[in-house]
Amino acid sequence: MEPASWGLDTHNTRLQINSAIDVGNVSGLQLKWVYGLAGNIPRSFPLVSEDTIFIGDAGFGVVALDRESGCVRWTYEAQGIASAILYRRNNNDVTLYATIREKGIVALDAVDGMQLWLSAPGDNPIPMYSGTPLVYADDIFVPLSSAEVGLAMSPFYGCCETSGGMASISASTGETNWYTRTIREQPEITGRRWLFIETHGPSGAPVWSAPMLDPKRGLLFFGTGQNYSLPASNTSDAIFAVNVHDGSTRWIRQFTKDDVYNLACNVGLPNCPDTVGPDVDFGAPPVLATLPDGREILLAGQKSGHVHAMNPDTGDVVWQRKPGRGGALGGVHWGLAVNNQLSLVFVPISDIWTGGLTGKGEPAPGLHALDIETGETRWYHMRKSRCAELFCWGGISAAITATTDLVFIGSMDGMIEAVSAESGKVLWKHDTWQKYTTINGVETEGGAIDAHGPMLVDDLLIVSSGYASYGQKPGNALLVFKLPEGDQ
Amino acid sequence: MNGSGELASRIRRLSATLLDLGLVFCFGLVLLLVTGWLEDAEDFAGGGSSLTIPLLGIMSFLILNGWLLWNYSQTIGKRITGIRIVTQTVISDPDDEVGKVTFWKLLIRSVFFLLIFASFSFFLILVLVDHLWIFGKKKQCLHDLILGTSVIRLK
Repeated sequence: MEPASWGLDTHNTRLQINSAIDVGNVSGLQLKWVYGLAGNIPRSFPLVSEDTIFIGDAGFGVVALDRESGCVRWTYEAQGIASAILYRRNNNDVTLYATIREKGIVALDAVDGMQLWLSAPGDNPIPMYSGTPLVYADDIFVPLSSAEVGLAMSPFYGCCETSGGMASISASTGETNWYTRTIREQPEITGRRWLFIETHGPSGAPVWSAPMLDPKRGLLFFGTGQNYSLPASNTSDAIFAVNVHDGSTRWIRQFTKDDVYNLACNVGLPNCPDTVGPDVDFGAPPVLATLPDGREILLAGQKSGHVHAMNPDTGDVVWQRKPGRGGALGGVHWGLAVNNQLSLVFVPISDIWTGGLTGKGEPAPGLHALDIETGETRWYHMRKSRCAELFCWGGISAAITATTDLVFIGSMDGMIEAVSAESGKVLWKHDTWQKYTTINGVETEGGAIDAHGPMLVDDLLIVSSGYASYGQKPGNALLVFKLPEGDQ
Repeated sequence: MNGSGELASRIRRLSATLLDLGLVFCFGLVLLLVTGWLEDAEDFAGGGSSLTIPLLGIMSFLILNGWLLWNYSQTIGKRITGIRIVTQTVISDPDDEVGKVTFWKLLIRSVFFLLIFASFSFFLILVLVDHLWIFGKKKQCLHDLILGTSVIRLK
C-alpha cells in the first residue's frame, strides 16, 4: 500500500522510488480512466493498494475505487474530507485514516469503509482539520488549524482567540497522547469595538500542512501560518521542532514577524488589523534532505517565495534563497520535493497575483531546481500563462512529486507535466482543461491543479484537476494515467 | 379597529413585508451586538450558531411586533401601510369583532415570515411557493389559506 504518508516517506521528500515511470517510458503515459468527483475544490491525494485506490472526495466522502476499472467498491459518506488518505497495517487488518475538515480525524476499516472511531483532538472549539496527519507506528500526528480565519469576516465577531496546534493521538483508539498549542500564551482582551464587542489576541499560527518525523532524532517538524489578530506572536510563520514523545519544544525558528491577516482583510471588514499581512504561511511541510557528505539538512518552502535550509538539530539557518516573488498563494504554497541522489530540491513557485498581498519583484512561476548544499539554482523551468486572465496563470501552487529521474508538476492553468529531474526539460504533458467521460457517469471537467498534487505508484500517475478557490478554474476530475503494458 | 372588508392590495402587502424584513434584520443586528451571542469562538462550537441565528430572528420579530400583533393583528410594516390580518369571517362582515386572529395563528404566520430569512437551500422553494399564492383571486398567501386568514385594508 502506498504512500506511507503525504510526503511519501517520513522525511517528506516526495520522492517516489517505487515508480515504474522513468525518462525512457514517460512519453507513453496514457489516460486509463477518469472519476468524476462530487466537489469542485478537490483536495484528493490517494492511497493505492494492489487492487484499490482510496480517495477523499470533499463533496462526498472517502471512496474506494477498483484500481483496474475505477468502479466504486464502497463509500464512507462525509462532507469535507480534507486530507490525503492514510493507513496503518496491524497484522492482517488495515485501518484507513482521513480528516473531516470541521469534525476531526476518522478511522475506517479498509475492507468495507465502516467507521471505527472519530477523534477531535485539541482545545479549539472551532477547529479545522485541514492538514494531512502523519501515521507512525501506533501514533498519529494531527495538525490543527482554526475556522476563526473565516469567522473574522463577521463584524460581530471579537476576533480572535484560538491557536493552531499539533496533537498526537493513538492510532488504535483515537485517544490523545499529547497536544501542543503553537501559541503558548492565552489570548487576552485587546480592545473594544462599537461599545460591546471585545477583540482578542494573540491568535492564529495554524498548522495546515503535514508534519515530518525524524525517528533518529525523535523530533517532529512542522510549519505554522500567520496570526489572525494583534498582537503578533513569535511562533507564527515559523518552523517547529518538537519532541515526538511529549510534544515539548526543541526549537522554534520564526521567519516572518508581525504577519497578521484574516479573511476580513479581503473585503475591508472591521476585524482586519491595521497592518495587514503579508500572509506568508508555511503551507509546504518541512523536508529532511541528505547532503552528499551524509549530513542532514532541513528544508522549508514558504509562501513568501523563500526556501530556508536549516540545521535540523538547532534550527540555525544554513542558507536561504528566494526563487519566487511570493504572495498569499505562494511563492511556495503546498510542497517541495527532494532528490538526494541528484542533490536537488525542486521548488514549485506559484507567484500568482494576490492584490495587496503580492510579493515584491518580478514573478518567476514554474519549477526551480536548487542545489541542496548551497541553494544555488541548477535549472529553472519557466511556465508561461496560456491567456491573460488570472485563472490562466501558469504558476505551480500544488505540491509536486519526483521520481529518481523525473519531476511531475500540475500547474494552475491545468497542465500536468513530467520534466527531467536533471535538466527541467518537459518530456510529457497533458492538458486537463477539457471535458472527460467518466467511470461513474458524473459530468466532469478539468480545471486548475492545486493542493496535494500528483501521486505516483508503480505504473500509475494519479492527479485531480479543478480548484474553484481564489479565482482558479473549477473542475472535478480525478485522472488516472498508466504506462502501456510492456513499458513497465 | 375594524377592517374595511376590502382585501389589501398585493403592493401594500409586499411593502409591509419588506418594511418588516428590514426592521427585523436591523433590530436583530442590534440584538446581536448587545447580547454578544456570536462574539466568541465558543458560540460557534458544535454548530451552535445554527440555533442562535433563528433564535435571534424570532426574538427580534416578537420584540418588535409581539404587542402590535396581539392587540391589533398587525406588524409594524402592516400598521405603516394600513393593513391588518383578519380571519375569513371579516371579509363577509367587516364589523365582525370576533374576527380577531388567535395567538397560535399569529405565531405560525410569524414562522412563515422568518422563513424568508432562512430562504437559503430548500426553504427557498417553500418561501416562493408560499408567496406566489398571493396571485390567486383571494390574494392569500399559502399560509393565509392554511390558517384561514386574510389581510385587509383598514377603513
